[in-house]
Amino acid sequence: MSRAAPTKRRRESRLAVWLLAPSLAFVALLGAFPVLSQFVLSFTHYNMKFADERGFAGLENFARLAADATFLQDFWQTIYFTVISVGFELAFGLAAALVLNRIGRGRAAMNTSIVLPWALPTVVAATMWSLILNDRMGLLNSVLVKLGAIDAPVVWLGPGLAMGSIILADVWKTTPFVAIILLAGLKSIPDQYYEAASLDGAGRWHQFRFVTVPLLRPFIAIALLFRTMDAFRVFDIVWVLTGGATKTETLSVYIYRMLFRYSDLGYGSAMTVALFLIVFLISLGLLKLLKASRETV
Amino acid sequence: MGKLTTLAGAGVVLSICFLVGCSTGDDGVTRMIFAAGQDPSGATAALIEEYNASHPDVEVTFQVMPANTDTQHDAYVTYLSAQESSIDLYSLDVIWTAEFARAGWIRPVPAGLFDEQEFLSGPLESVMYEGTIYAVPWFTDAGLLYYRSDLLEKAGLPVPETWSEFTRACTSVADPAGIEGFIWQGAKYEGLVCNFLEVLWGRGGDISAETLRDSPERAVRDVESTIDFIRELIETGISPASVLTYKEEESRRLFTEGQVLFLRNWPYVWSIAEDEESSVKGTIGIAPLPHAEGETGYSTIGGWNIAVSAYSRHPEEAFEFLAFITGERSLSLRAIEGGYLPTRKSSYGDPDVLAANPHYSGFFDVFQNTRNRPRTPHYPIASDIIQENVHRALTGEFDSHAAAESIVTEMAAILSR
Repeated sequence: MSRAAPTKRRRESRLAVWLLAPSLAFVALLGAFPVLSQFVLSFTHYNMKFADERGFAGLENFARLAADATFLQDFWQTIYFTVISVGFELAFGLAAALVLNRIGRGRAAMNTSIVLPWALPTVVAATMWSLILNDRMGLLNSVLVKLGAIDAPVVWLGPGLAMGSIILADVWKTTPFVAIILLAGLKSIPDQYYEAASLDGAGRWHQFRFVTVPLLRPFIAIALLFRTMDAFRVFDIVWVLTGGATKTETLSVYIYRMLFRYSDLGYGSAMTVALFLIVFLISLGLLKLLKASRETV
Repeated sequence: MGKLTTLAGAGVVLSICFLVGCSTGDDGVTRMIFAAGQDPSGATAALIEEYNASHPDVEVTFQVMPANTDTQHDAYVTYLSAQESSIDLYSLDVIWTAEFARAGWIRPVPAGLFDEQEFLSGPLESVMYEGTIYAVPWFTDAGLLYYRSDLLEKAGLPVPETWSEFTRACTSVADPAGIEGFIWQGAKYEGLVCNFLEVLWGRGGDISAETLRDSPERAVRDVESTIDFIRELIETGISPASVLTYKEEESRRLFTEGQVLFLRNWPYVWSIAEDEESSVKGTIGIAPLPHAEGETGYSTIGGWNIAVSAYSRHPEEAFEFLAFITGERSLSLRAIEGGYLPTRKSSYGDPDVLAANPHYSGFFDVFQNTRNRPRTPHYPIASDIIQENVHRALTGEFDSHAAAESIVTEMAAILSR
């Protein structure tokens, strides 16, 4: 019996490998292969339209990248978009989660209605916002003019306001995602903690500050991780609303131009590799934060 | 990723090929595929059917492509870079000829396939690359000035020809009526390139390879003053600031709702403006675009050509079909049924075409003075150089002189590449 057990375990683990093999191959094909070929391409000169000029580039694409003012400007614009939109999404998402957590009747209806924006495909949501933000025919201006808040229609997608409008649309679209994650976190906090706190004389604010926030921290960190990674790669909303005009171009939009409009696979891949590394580093930092938040609990 | 998309593209084509069958089969029938955007009128499909009926040894299939121009372009680039041979004929936007010819993806058109004299000069120029003809013009498009004839008549003003007449009409007619003077396409996209070049040409400037090489200072001056001129249109209220966020449809909608005196747009607006739902039905007219004193107004040319793939296995049969589908009768039928503007001059004298489209006589005048956008294999980059710099200068992010200098130096580099 004691001899048979390890053999059986070994046999089982061998079986497990075989059972996992198809999905691992699938992951390798869909995940590893494109990423690796992107790395390889980033060291070549390769434009699909000028296939005859294809050749090894060494680090030339990366040298070009380092001197590319557009890439740098778009990098800062992407950071700006990410920080502001994720910040608002966390604040509004937390507020929404706290409200939803206290609702007794009609919770299902509330949950459904709050998730709706998140369920819409981004392109559809963005197109809808482009109609809302249109200066003549848009809903936003007509409401504001009727309320007397503004005298003349505002060009929401024009200079100065375009990035703010894009952030508005993104916050509307993804706040529900944050709210749902934080709501799950709130549900996981046992009522007893609050009872104990109130016995100790803690008011609402102190309960929130010393019970809710610390216990919610891992969930906040998860929401932050997902949203930051997503926001940093933002494409559709920008593409539909401004096409990258008036200081709204993000790195993904620039990469799209390079890869698809110019069919420049070499340089485009170098930019993709850079984006990949940036997102990787940010996620690493956030994961550390996540780990730290777990340990303090 | 590139390889994957190529593979995926090839896969799609192969499956199409498998489904409809390509090449010459055992039955001795030559099967060919013609890829083009949708034709809702059905005229193209009818013509192909007719061709197949009269050519028992040939069977052409119409492969409908996505309506979005960029999507179509990306699909073709994927097919052709994978040396796809099942598609024999492609319809190409006029700005793609140089790119596809340089890549070696399309075949030079054999001499004598068509008579160059019979075509409008603008579309004809668009099928040439380095002196060789690579396609046949199929249907055309050009920028037009739409105006409110009722308002101009009431004010006793003629249709403006020069910019000074134009701006005067805007201040004396549009302002008192409480409507916008002039709406065009100023968002950062391809349409801005067309609009910008028209104003530049109408002021006697240009950014052709020769001008950029021989007199770059003059080019900088012309581009700068054109940007300043357009900016002034916005600053003086002739065009609203929001025009810098408008594409075709946003601008068209304002016009057909009766909120605009002058609109620069493409021929498609005519039938919408004359529709029952339009509030300007029966009160509009079309004219060539305005120009500076002593200059000529030019319209940017749009439209589509048809080319034979370099990888087609049946080039002879493909060219024969190409001659048919771009023939006089085919173009006229598509004009009558679908409103596609013919590229052959004779169609504009065809009584059946004019009976179906009385406004074509007005278009024909405009088509006399058309120009092509820069013709280069690097067109997408050239377009982005103009879009970026002009838009940034118009929104005040760039100084107009700096924008003009970067347009001229960057365009010169692209055009000489």
